[in-house]
Amino acid sequence: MASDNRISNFLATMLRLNIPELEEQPPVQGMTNVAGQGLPQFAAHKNVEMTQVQHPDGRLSHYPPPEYWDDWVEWDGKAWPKRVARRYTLVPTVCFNCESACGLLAYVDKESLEIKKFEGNPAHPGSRGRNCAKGPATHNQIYDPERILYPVKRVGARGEGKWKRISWEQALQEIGEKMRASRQKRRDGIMYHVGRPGEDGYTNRCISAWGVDGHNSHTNICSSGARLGYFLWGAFDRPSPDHAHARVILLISSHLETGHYFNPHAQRIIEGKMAGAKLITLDPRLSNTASMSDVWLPTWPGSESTLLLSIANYLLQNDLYDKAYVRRWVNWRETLAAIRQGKLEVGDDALTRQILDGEPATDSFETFEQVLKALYRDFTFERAAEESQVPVERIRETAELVANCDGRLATHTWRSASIGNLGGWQVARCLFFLNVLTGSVGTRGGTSANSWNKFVPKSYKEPGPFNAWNELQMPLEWPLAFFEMSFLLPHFLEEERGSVDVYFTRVYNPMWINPDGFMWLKALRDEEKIRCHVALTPTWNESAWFADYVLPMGHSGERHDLMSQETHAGQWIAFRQPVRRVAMERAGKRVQYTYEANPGEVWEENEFWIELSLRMDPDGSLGIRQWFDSPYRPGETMTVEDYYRWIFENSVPGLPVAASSENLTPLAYMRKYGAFEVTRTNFVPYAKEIPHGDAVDESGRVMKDGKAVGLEVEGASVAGFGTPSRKLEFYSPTMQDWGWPEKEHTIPWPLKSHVHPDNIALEKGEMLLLPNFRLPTLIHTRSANAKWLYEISHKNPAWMNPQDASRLGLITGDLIRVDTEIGYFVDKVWVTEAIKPGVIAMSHHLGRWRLQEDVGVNMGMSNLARLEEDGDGTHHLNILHGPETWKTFDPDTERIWWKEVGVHQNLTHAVHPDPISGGHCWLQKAINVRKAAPEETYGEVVVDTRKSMAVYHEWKALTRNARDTSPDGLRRPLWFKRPLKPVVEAYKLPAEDSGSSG
Amino acid sequence: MVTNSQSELPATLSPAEKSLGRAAACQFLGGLLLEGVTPALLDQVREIPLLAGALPEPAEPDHLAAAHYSLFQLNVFPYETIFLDSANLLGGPASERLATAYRDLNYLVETNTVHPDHVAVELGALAHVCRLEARAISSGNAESVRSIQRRGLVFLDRHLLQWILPLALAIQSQKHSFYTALSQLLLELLAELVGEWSGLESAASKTSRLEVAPAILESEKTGLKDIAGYLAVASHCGVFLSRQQIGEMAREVDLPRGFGSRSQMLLTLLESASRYERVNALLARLDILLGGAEAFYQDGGGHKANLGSYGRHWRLKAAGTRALLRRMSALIEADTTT
Repeated sequence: MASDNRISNFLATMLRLNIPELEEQPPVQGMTNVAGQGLPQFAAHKNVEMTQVQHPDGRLSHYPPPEYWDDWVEWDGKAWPKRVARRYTLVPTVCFNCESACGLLAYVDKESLEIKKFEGNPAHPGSRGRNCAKGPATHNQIYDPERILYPVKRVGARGEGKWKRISWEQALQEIGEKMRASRQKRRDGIMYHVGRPGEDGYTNRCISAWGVDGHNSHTNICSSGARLGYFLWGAFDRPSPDHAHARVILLISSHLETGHYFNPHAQRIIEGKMAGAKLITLDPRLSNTASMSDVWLPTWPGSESTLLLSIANYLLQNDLYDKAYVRRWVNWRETLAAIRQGKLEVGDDALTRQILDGEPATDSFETFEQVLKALYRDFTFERAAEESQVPVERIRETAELVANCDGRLATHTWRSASIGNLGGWQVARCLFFLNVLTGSVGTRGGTSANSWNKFVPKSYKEPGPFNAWNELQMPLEWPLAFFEMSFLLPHFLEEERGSVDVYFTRVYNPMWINPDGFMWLKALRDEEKIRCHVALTPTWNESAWFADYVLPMGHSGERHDLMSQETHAGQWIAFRQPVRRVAMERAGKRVQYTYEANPGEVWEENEFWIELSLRMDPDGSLGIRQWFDSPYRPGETMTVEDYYRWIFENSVPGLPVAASSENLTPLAYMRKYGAFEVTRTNFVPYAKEIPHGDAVDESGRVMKDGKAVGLEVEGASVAGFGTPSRKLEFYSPTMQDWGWPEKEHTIPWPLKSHVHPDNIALEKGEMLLLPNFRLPTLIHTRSANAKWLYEISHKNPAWMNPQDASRLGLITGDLIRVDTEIGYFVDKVWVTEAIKPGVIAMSHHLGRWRLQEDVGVNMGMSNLARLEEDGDGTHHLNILHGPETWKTFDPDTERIWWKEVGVHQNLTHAVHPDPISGGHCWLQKAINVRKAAPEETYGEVVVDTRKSMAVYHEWKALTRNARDTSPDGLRRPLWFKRPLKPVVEAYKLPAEDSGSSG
Repeated sequence: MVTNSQSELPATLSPAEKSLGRAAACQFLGGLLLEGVTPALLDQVREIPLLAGALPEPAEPDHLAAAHYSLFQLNVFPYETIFLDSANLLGGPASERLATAYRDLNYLVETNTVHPDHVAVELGALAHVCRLEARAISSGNAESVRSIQRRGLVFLDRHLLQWILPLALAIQSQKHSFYTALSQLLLELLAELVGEWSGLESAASKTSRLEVAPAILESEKTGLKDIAGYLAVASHCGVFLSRQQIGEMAREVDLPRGFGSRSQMLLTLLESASRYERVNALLARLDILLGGAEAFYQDGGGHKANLGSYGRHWRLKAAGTRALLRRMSALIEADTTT
């Protein structure tokens, strides 16, 4: 009775409060679904006909043909053995779980609008309907109940772990005001730090519109070494091998299972192999790729350049290289001139004297051939075998295969050795040297530049370059870096170089992914140095925990983007789409913002940036607003549809015609197919003829309006390369001019790695730690909420050769402690012959840790952070704040391990910025490796950040400051790439006494 | 309507008013579960003694919002599919069942920003039924009233009542005074409703929708990962273990619990228990937790008469898990002895 009374009174109160009814729904007209749409008939009838596809030739369909995508009926496999019919609308989109941009086809249930599954998009020219495990696992990510569904703002101190849900409007307004205030004050106060861009051009256009030097990327922990090596050759910074048609495929990575661009490349590598290509892999690990190779070269890390040059030497000394090609395209005249000017030592006195004497006959290609032979004659197979610790016969076999490639040598290096070693950029340069010598540049079966195969269309009304230079991103010590020195941001802040007003991390988790993560922790906590941190992310991560705003952004089926990648010898674009929104629109439902269609209020960046930019410049006084006007409705704000419609109508050759042939608009065509092949093949574009210019200068460059636009080759004007000479630059005048005149910098040459055997005293217990390899199904932090993927791989034990294991008394499963320069971690060991002696390998794509679990654990505790700091630089992971907790019952302070998510080793890595490329040299010298003591537990991580800064200073001392080296008063060579280039004025070196940023 | 300012004296409501009151209550409580105590709702909450007394003081809006976020975005996911299906993913069969149920109720709801199986949406459906009931009562159409009540009871029987008890238990385990009170009030409201509609008993099958839990100990291949997976699925083990609860258990038995998803934390906890020979302590702690859950279900969350039957299946699940844990303990004991 008491309960009845309570309820009666409660109900009376409710009536008195006059709770307004939920909005009246429209009257039902027949059967409807939850979105108020008419139900398809099959829901009410049992007999539903399957979609039948019959091909004239009787073959079966691998995929639903596109003409059926609007209405596709098939049995629900999950309902088996019941026969449950599902009527789908199939919407193409693009995977976002790595960089490859493979096509996906979302099966959206027409009744419930639920995404039932993702399969491959057969209309996608790059992936051709195939996917790896990461693509279908997008479904896990979308329906993960633990994802972030609403925008939140922190409550209390940064990192305290208290969040409140806010509206998008509040987020936009508050962040927009901060951006406006910053932009009014300076042009280097807003920083957009992106992990995987996952799109081409859209966000960069926004940043350009803001007029700030604000683009920051993850390139320096990924690819800067390879980029510089390639760039010095031909002004392109990535390779694009044509694996499918190659005779020889030479990889310095585990490309078949994890490389850039894994799925599109892997299928073409196999095609190449099926057609008879030989596969050669350089890798200290017997990776899946190595195991599928015809030749595996388990090189000591850092010896790759020497090994590659021994192959080059073999080609040179035996006249097995493509002389006509080298004569035509390489800057050999400039190289001879450099020798004459005393800038390049040949190592052959007689030959040098001949050249210096200046006899006319010495200014010939034949002399250059002699130079090459002299330069590389010491790179014998025996030397390579000794340095690389690979059997000499295997190197010879490799060289013979390369020599017989017939201009069809497909090569690739990405991350791996090029980002592992001090001077790793020379690995890419030496590798591409083989392409040059074999004439395999841009040929069928050869290796192209990325820009020849990746198609990035122009958007309408491109904002011009900005007049700003952000010293926190491109400091003077690294004038040749590719690109921003992103992983050193905390160290620069520690040095009081400046501050950031609004810091966006976008699908990026700097505290976890970068080396020296505790320095990031320190920086992210500091509200004076990073004044506002906005994390744009689909899921919680370590860095987002220290944000001020966490804004949920969509997974691959929840957003618009345009993407292209250099997956093969052709060019294509692919259109990522919010599939549920598209399905709703196909059903006639109007959607204004994508978050209306996504789970919760998950948004997409495209619309977010438009709205944020408008809040940043509400009255147009900053000149930003104009860039977000609709190209179709003057005076009105651009929609995402406007943006892509304009590109598809105006900027993609062939698309309007292809669309028209199907009675579609270009936008409708892309919405339907999700991809378009721009060109089937694009071989040797540098040899394409161009209109004659105004003149040809003494080095053969075709000039127009005072600028080099091409190259004269055998009487014809051709495009040439993007280098200053328009040729492939064997000798780099740029390196010479910018303070790196030594031979090991100006031409392809090995640089001594920081993990050279001379620097690793095995007898003292030191080893080489190889961390920078991926696991096939995980991509850094983004795949953590895909349980299918974690089910496949969730451990990162340390691979160790039996010789080392025997020496250390270890068996598989034992705990080892690995001491690095700044700390140590404890992991389990996997004893295997698949790794070289002296090297331990451990993927750094695992070892996630999060702070959320502690929310509300104990209301009496403050913040409940999981890190213990002694206030003197020592950090201990997974323990509570405060000295009292150190001594208390909590065993987390002593026992830390995450068996199922691996060990987060990056925290114990000191930063190793290459003095030239700026890339973080991931390979670590393990100061000591030993069996863990009884009190040392799995996953334990301890770091001393005082040592972090000391190591940083050691590496910084290797740099050569632009103030001392710049030949022209600029900060950086103008022809060097940057993701977003400022105006020339901004390149000028600042005055000596210019203050710090912010 | 006759109101009474003395809360201990019952207000006198007509049947139609009662139905409208229930509709408003379902909608209001659902709103609180979905959005939390927003500043707009705070004044109304203060008007309800059963809830006002549980508000933290001072009832600072940011802290209320943070508590809601912590509870329902980081710890307890109030979706039918999370409680009744084993996939631990949103969407899927539960959403479809709900779509059909809403259609049967003539309940058209926009579910673009919240999944249709969120407890607030289900309460919205119930509110819709109560309003229909009020209209039918007012129009004096007794047959229509019975029909609406029958449909409402079918909906409750197949959906909300199938998982409201473990949800309420999971919420109360978070130890937040306001949401504990809210969940108690919600159970009370539902129990009262079921009691009133009990004349339509035949409409309620009270058939369990819970899946048969895998017999994990019967397989030689079963490892800690399988056990962790079992414990992470509420419909298998009988309780929804939040991250916070896992953390609390770990601390109580002096073990680390790691990071990550609930299943990852559970696995880490089990592995650390194994490594540090604390398995029995952990199993004992789990047994206490499950024992509490059994009692809660047995008692129908305090409403045994009307909700007890909906707790029976959950009680059996919890009891089954306790038996499984005892077997594990025995196996470990036997292993140690040999």
